[in-house]
Amino acid sequence: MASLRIEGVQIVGIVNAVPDRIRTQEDDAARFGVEEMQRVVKNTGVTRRSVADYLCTSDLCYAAATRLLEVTGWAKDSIDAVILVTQTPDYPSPATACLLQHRLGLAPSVAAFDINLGCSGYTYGLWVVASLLAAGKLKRALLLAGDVVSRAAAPTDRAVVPLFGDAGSATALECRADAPPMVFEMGTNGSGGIHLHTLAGAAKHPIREIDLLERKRKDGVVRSNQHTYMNGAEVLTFAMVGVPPMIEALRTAAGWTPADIDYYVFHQASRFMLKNIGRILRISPTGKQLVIGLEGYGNTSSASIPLAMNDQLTELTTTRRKIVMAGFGIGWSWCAVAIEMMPIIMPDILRVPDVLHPGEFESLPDHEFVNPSDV
Amino acid sequence: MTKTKFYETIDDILELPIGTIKGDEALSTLPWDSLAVVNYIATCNGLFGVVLKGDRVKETKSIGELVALVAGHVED
Repeated sequence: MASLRIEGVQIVGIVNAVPDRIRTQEDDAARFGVEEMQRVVKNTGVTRRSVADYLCTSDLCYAAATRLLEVTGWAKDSIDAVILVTQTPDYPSPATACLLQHRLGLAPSVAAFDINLGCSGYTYGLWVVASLLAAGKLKRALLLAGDVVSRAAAPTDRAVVPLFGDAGSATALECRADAPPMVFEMGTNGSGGIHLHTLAGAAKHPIREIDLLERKRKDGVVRSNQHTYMNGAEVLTFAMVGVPPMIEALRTAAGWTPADIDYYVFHQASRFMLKNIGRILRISPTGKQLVIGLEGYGNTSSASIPLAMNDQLTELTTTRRKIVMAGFGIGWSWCAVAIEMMPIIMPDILRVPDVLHPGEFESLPDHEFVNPSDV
Repeated sequence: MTKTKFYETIDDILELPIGTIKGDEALSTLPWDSLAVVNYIATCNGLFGVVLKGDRVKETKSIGELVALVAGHVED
């Protein structure tokens, strides 16, 4: 496990955006049954979710980034880098961050690339962006973290559908000599990839006709090979084994005692998962130290940490706080950071109309069939 | 923990009346599903400090096999 300390970089602001389309526990009960949904919600803590039928990751992150530039007052030509963390890019290629550089009107001198991570992605993204800024050449960067994971859920998968929501976030970071240090702890165990993945859609398993078929599998779930596969029991085992030692190592590396920490903001996997990790770490179950902010949004993958802060910790706009953030999951991948956050700019969560924003590529004349009757 | 007390814990996980589980049941006759699996793993961790492998718990077919996973923590 690697431990890293970064000086002179500060989080200035955070904006989150979610689709305005809401799916409630009652909506899910129509498919899964009222009593079953009561059991599910008792576990997940998710009573409603913001979901995108049409919006893409880029649309949500664009809305968040646009608002972030407004509230920070940052000029577009002052941005040196835009990094997007997502597992649901708009297209297989090119990187969605490149599309967003253009759409946001950022300068051609901007560095832009995607990072393919999910549940661990926000904290990994903070590490990458903070490292870039700390290297000394770049001054300001936007970290975008977002996913539309609900669109990859098999419609009848009771373990996945009622849990996942969609969101995009934008975080402004800049070099400031007096910024408190950020201390990171991270690691990877790729043997866990088998327990949480999407089978089809890239080079190892290109999409064929058979991959589109929704068929009942041996685990009892009806899904296609384009849908998300999740072994919830193994995810829980991984989290219970992997997260507490990471947090303990982070606290040691940061020189923080448990009492020093104002808030733990973990990836919002599910209330059940958070409570169990909190129990192992001996975080008071009745206190406010363990932040749970997924009830109205669901598990939003890479956006869940900034979204939970926005939902639960509005005091961050006025008060200096010691925060431990931890992302963990698909990969297996994990990354935690200890940050003493100065007051940040964090306006209300944006609700973005769930409408189609046509891409530019589809209308490219070169894509037209030479003979339309070939269809 | 005694077996009787542990069976009551499983009753609780499965939301069954206390005293339902006798120890010889097949899981296929009980409301044993993915939610029960994760609840069982978390409960055993809370009670005994063990972290059971998810797939090991998923593969079990009976209450007896479930109890065997925490052998040493449950007395006759």
